[in-house]
Order: sequence, then structure tokens, then C-alpha cells
Amino acid sequence: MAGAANWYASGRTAAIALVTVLVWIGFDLDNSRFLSGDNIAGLIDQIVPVGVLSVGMAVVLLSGEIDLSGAAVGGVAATVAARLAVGDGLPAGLALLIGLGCAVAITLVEALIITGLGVPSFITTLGGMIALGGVLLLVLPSTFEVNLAGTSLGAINTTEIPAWVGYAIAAVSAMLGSWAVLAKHRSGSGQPPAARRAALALRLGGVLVLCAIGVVTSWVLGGQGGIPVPVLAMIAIVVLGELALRKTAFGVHLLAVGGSRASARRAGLSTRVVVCGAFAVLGVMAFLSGIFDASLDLGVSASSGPSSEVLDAIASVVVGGTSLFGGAGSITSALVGVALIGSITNGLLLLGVSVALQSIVTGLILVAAVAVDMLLSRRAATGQARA
Amino acid sequence: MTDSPLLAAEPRTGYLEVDGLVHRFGGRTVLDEVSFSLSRGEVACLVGENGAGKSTIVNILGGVLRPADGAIKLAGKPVSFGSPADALEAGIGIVYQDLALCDNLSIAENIFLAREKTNRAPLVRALARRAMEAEASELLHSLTAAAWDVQQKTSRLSGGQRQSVAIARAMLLDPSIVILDEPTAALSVRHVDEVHRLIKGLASRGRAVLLILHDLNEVAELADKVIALRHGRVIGVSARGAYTVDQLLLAINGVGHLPGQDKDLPDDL
Repeated sequence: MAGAANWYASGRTAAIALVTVLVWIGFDLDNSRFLSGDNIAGLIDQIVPVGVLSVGMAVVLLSGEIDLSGAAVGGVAATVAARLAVGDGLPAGLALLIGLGCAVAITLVEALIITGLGVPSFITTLGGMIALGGVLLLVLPSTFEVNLAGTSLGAINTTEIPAWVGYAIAAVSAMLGSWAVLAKHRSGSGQPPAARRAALALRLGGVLVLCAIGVVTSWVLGGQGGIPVPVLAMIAIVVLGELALRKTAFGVHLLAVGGSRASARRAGLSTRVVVCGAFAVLGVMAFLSGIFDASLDLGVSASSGPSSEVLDAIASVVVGGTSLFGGAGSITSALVGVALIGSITNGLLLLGVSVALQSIVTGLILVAAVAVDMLLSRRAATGQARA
Repeated sequence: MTDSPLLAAEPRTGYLEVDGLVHRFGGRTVLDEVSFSLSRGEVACLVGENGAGKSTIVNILGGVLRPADGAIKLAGKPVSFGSPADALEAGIGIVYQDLALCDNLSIAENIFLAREKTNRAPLVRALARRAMEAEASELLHSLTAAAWDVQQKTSRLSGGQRQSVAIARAMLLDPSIVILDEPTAALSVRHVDEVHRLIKGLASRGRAVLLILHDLNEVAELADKVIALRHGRVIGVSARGAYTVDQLLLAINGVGHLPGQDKDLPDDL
């Protein structure tokens, strides 16, 4: 089932990227502020924390599990780092390292409970989310907040990289991406030429659209003073993550375990190691997401790591084209889904639509995306049964 | 079969020895003191009704299940498998009845799953896809004499092609013991002949082959030895030519005996 589903998934990622561009144009026709430099810059700033968390979520979903605790993990880890750096005067690098260690330790404990005791990941991470809400209150100082204004952690989000770095990355990605797509096209055989040409056009178009978005984004952000470090970090994470998924044994193992756990195990894979690996990646991403969030808000408080953020991450990844059922999808789906959902939220805000309606629209988009996922995987499954 | 050092030195004595295997599912005993042996170059066949314990034996030998009791010896050395990876490591290659393929992966990815080749790069070990695809094509070509597009997902393949991929994966590590669970059940006549040739070829190259088959005529053609199971017990072991298909059929249904079967065993276990 997942073979065909994977094709649909990558096709859907490209389709959602296109829809995002259409949404931008639509909002801009209605309110010309939408595509203004400061709005786009603000929009991108806002989506980075969820975007980075979504990368971790994509990895966990690909492995056939789910996570509800990522935002809470990020909130706790960022608070630990902020307190150590600001309150206890530790060097920022050391404080960040300890925060990272906390985040990965928490998600690894969750993974061990899931794989060792067989508690479903939904329940394990739901419990984790609730418990970490309490832990957050314990690690916060008695004022329940740490102010990061004027600190090196607070400066992460305001440190900006010149736009030409963005152009360079987009150009290199375009070349490498096209080269990889062409190499795959040349080495492939067996399928009818028309199907191969269609696949080539789809993949090449996808790479070039994404790189064009990169160039435009760099240009817009350049006009606002430069590319904030978290934005560049998110792009780098997505590119490296996608490469790791396609080019390393761990990537194949992730898809195998998510697609058919019993088969993967009998082929000799340790499914426990793979699931633990996925949750370790989640831990790193949750930590970065928490730090970027704290830097954006210039502080941590009792409202750090809200559960809405983890739900946004799940919605983004699934809307972006990664299957909720494991084994099919991509890392890029995280970025594409976050861009669409973030754009819609932002656009509705500019149109003066109420918060209530914004939530309703976001919820409906998620349900629609999963409905499409169900339909396509069912169609793929019956297609195989006929074959 | 015995612990005699003299016999152990014989080339035809047990390479794989299974001794007193017991397994229970939720209080129900599905394997009860199962013992048999398998030599290099020998084709043995497990026969019995559904629920007789055949697939449970395969799963134990594959490291999927851990027996409640009993011992497994390979080349005279006791082994215990904590996971399927252990069994593969020990040289047991299995083609499971459901083939155990990951249908969201390509043919080459399936064949090399858990034993991928990587490029030697300084920092990151990238997959050597081209090398794996070349080797997978070659392996499949040698098994089936057909050309294969190994980048295809296995979900797109026919039953016979999927069977070939599963067999190729089992052959990749050149196992000394090959276990095939119902390898011909879903195949066309041409593919059945192909699998039969493969089985005979494996045995002639000194591999020990353990089969599970439903078709007793197929058993009579392929097996050097049949191991008849009923209700989780071995009710008889008989060499090629020492039994008839009718005798075998009656024995596994509990209404007759194999020649040489222990007559003291109650008929209705």
C-alpha cells in the first residue's frame, strides 16, 4: 500500500507548495499588506519554532509512531537553558548543551517506554505532555518567568545573516537537487517512458519551486535587515534531514519500520533502535524549537511549550504530505505544511477574521488533509490487491 | 540425533539439531518436546495440519519467538536467538509465508534491508545505492533468469515476483540453513518448477533446507526426510521412499501411522 502512497505523498507535497503560493496571491489581492516585507518577515519568524518541531514530528510519524509532548519538551529544555544561562550565569553554550541533553533524555525515556513496555506512543507522549507541564512549573523560578531581553539567548532571533547566503544556499540546493533528480531519472528503467517523464517533471518542478521560494524569501528578508539565524537553521535542518532520509541506512530503516514493523523486524532490523533514533531526533528538534520560541518571545514562562504548538506540528506534517500511518512522506513536508498553515493563519489575521474562525479553518484543513490521506492509501491498497 | 562423538564426526549427522522444543501461547501448548535434526545437503519437510506447530517452529528458528524450553544446536554448538538479527547472523535464512517484505520500499532496499552497503565517506555513511541495485539485479537474475527493475516498489509486483524477491533476500547472506515456509503456495506452475530447482540446487551445494509444504505430492518429490507433526508433537520421521503419500496423509490426520512411527504414541494426542 505504502509504495503507491509514497508517490501520492510526494506529489501532494508539491501540490501543497503550489497551494501555498496561490494562498499568498489570494491574500495579497485582498490585502496588499500580506506580501509586504515586514509581514512576510514576521510570518516566517512566527512559523520557525513550529517548523523545526515539525521536522522532529515528521521523523516520528515516518517511524509509525506519534508524539504529543514535543512542545512541552522544548518548553522545559529552553527553560532549563534559560535559567542556567541567565539565573546561574553559566556560559550560554554550556547552558544550551545541558538543555539539549535534557530534551533528548526525556524523549529517549518516552521511546524506551514505548518500545520496552509496549505502551502506545499516543498514550506515552500524552502522559509526557501532561507531566512536563508540571515539570515546567518546577524548573521555572518563583516568578514563573525568565526574561531573555538583552541576553545572548534572546539575541539568537535578532542575529541576521546577509541575504546573499540565502541566494547561495538556494542556488546550490537547486543544482544538487536537479542533479539528484536527473541521476535518478537516468538510472531508472522498466516503467513506461510517459510515467518516467511525468515523475521527472514533477520532481524537477518541486525542486525548482522550493528553491525559487528560497530566493524570494532571502530577498524579502534581506530587505528587512537579513535572514534571522533560526530561519537559516530551519532551512538547513530540512535540507540535511531530507538528504539523511534518502541517502542513509537510517532513513531506509525509518521507512521500513514505519511501513511494516513486523517485516522490518524479521529482516533483522532492531525496531527498538530505530524508534529510539526517531525520538532522539525529535528531542533535538523540540529543544531547538523551544529555544527559538524563547528567543522570539524574549523569555520563558509558564505558557512556554503550549500543546497547541505540537498539534500545529502534527497538522503541518500531515497536510504537507507525510502519512499519519507511517512509512510514507518526507522531511520537506514539515516545511511545506507549516508554510501553508502559517500563511492561512496570518492572512486571516490580516483580513480581520476572528480568532475563532482562524481555529475553525485550521482544524478543517487538517481533517481534510487526513481524509485525503485515508482515501489515497485506501486506493493504493486496493490497487495492490488488484495487481 | 545422539550425543555420540563418533556420530557427530559423520558428515551426514545433524547440522541443525532441535531438542525438546516447547512453546506455549497463553497457556495452550503449541509445541510439545519437538526434536529433529537436519544435515548439510539434506531437504527436510515439516508436514502437519493447520495448527500442528509448523510455523511456530519456523518463528523460533528465525528468532521471532523464544521457546519456553528446549535447545537448538548449530554445528554442535548451542545457540539462542534473542532477535531475528541473531538468527540471520548464525546463518539461518528464512522465506516467511507472508514473505516479510516492506511494500513501501524498493526491491533493492528490501533485499539489502538491515545490511545496506555504504560509501566510505569521512563523516556520513551514505547509501551505496548503485552497488546495491547492481548486486540485487544480479542476484535476482541468477535466481529467475529474468531482467529486473530493482528500483520498483515491491507493492507493484506479482505474487511470483514477490516470492523471488523474498528468496533473493534470504540468499544474500549465503545462509547455511535455508527455511522456506509454503514457498510454492501462491505460484504458477512455471514458478513452482523454478522454486523446486532452487531448492534442489541449494541442497546439492551443501545447504541444509527445511521446508513447510501442504501439497504432499510435492513433499514426496522434494523431501529427503519428512517430519510429521500433530498437535505440536513430532509423530514420526520418515526417509524418502519409506512412506507413501497416503500413509503420510493418514498419519498427520491422526488416523494412521508412518512406517517406523512410535506405536506407543496415542493416536489422539
